[in-house]
Amino acid sequence: MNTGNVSPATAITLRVVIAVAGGYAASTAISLLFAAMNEMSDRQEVAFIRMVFFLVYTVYIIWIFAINDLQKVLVTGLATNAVAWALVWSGVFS
Amino acid sequence: MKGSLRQSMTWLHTWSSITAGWILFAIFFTGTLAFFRAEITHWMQPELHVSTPSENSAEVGYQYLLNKAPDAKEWSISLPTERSETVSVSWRYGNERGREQLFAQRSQLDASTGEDLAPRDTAGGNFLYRFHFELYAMPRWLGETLVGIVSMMMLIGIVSGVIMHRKIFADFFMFRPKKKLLSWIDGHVLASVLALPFHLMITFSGLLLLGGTLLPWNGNGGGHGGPPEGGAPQERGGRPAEVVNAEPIAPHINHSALLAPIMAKASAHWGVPVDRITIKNPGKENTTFTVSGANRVELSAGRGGNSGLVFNASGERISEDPASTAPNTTQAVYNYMDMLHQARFADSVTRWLLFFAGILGTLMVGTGSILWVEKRAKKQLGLKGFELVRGTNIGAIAGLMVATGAYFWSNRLIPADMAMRSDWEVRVFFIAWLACVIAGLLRRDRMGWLWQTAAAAALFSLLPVLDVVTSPVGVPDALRMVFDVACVLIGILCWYAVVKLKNGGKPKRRSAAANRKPDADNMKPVRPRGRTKTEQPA
Repeated sequence: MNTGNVSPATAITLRVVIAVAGGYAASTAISLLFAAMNEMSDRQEVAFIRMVFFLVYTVYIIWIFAINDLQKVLVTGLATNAVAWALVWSGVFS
Repeated sequence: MKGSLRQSMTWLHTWSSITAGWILFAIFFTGTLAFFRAEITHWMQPELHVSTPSENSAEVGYQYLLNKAPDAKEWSISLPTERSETVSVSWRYGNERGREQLFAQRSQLDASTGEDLAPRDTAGGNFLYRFHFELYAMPRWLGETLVGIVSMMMLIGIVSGVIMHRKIFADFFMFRPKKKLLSWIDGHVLASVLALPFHLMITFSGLLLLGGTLLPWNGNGGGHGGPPEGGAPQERGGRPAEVVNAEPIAPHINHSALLAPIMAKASAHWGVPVDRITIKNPGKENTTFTVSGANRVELSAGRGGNSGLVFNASGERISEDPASTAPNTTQAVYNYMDMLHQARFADSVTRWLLFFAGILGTLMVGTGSILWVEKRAKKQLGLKGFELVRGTNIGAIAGLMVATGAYFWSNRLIPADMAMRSDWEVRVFFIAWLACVIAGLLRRDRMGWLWQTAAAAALFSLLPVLDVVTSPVGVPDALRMVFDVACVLIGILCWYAVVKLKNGGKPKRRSAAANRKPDADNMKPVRPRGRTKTEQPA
């Protein structure tokens, strides 16, 4: 693992934070995007977002832990959030 | 992570699960018991045991209400069903009686005689049910958030657990008893894979149900049990009455003779018996009878999936309350998950299947936590962190079962008229659990397990005896039977563990293959034919 001069404990902590917090943020954005792509009533949207969120979150955490390199993890965490949130705020899908 | 995908997944599986393991075990165990919530509550109220369902249960309820609340705005009679032996009546007034009268009052009656049974004060199965998603003695949002976090860890544990097994199918069919670590591994895999669809469904749908708390940004949140549109959870019978103008009280008409023909018409219409009658403006000219039954035709309709029929004061059908249907696919799928998790549809066979699947889930979590210790026993014995996990495992697994057994025992042993007896039952649960956790930390070896498992085994397997001795009716009815049988099954499981623990101490002669040390880090079973390529962790 290319951890540079980061200790193993820090590497694990960073990865967990990116998976849990970064994953929560990214899954929020992604489920909002999916919801925006479809015309839905408010009630439908709440149910839809709940289902999509937990699917995306699970896949995201697994993905972050499957990546070999800590730098790639950092880049993935930042990039997915940046892209997803940029798309949410740009409103291209709504 | 470092190494292959399977190695990363093994790490994730191990640490996601062991961190959440103790609380997950408690959630899985109490949640599994909650499939029999109604049966547990019935068992825990022996005053109700004298009731036997009869042909005229509806009239019995009607006569009681006629005497008790003749001028109420609305009566409701719940008849005995497969899961209740009593008639439950409730009534509410309009707002003319002040705020406290807006909510329904209720009584439970002997279904044959109409006697008000006034059961003892107990949280019953509801305590276990509520504990499994909001824990206890903490704000609801906090309990739900904690349960949500460990549920998420559980889901990650399940998915990573599947990925880490290259040959999950072959591993599933492998069981190597009497080989200590390998047996734990195989038992863990067996419990997990046998009911894998159930584990995935129950965890995912559990997360959906907690979605209101876990995703506060989504809509206005709903909290547990609330419909996805974010309404408040429905308290049974707790609807405020609509505002009505006080009318002069008209002479009271006794409509009880109408009940039998109305119920006959409705059940002929649906093909299932009526289980609830709601009477608006009882005893008046403009009274209406709304009857409902277990006539759901689709799960995806969600909670409102039962239709009702409305009859007037002459016993004629005047309209139909149609069953709600899911307005779109999204909500249909959501409702489906919701109904599955709460087993709202289940007949008794399905309920037992869900119970067994839940027991497998409980075993999955329990064997997993033990496996963690077994794998590290040789290398880490004596280390602080290892000893902490080793000791807490005992109190969290065997101790929780002791606590649950003690809860049921306290129900029958605490005097029925004691003040705050319901609180004391819950205190007994937590005191017993705490005592077990402390005992487990003090005695962390096999004997610690043995004592607590034996205590749980004794408590559960003797519950049917306690039931027969302390209930006013010796011979258990169908509902108590369910409870007693479930307790015996849990008792047998515990006795099995006791026997294993008792024999486990003596070293046995082992074959050469069994002595080969298993690859400690990726749980890869050792195969006698040696066809697998060995992948050493880096």
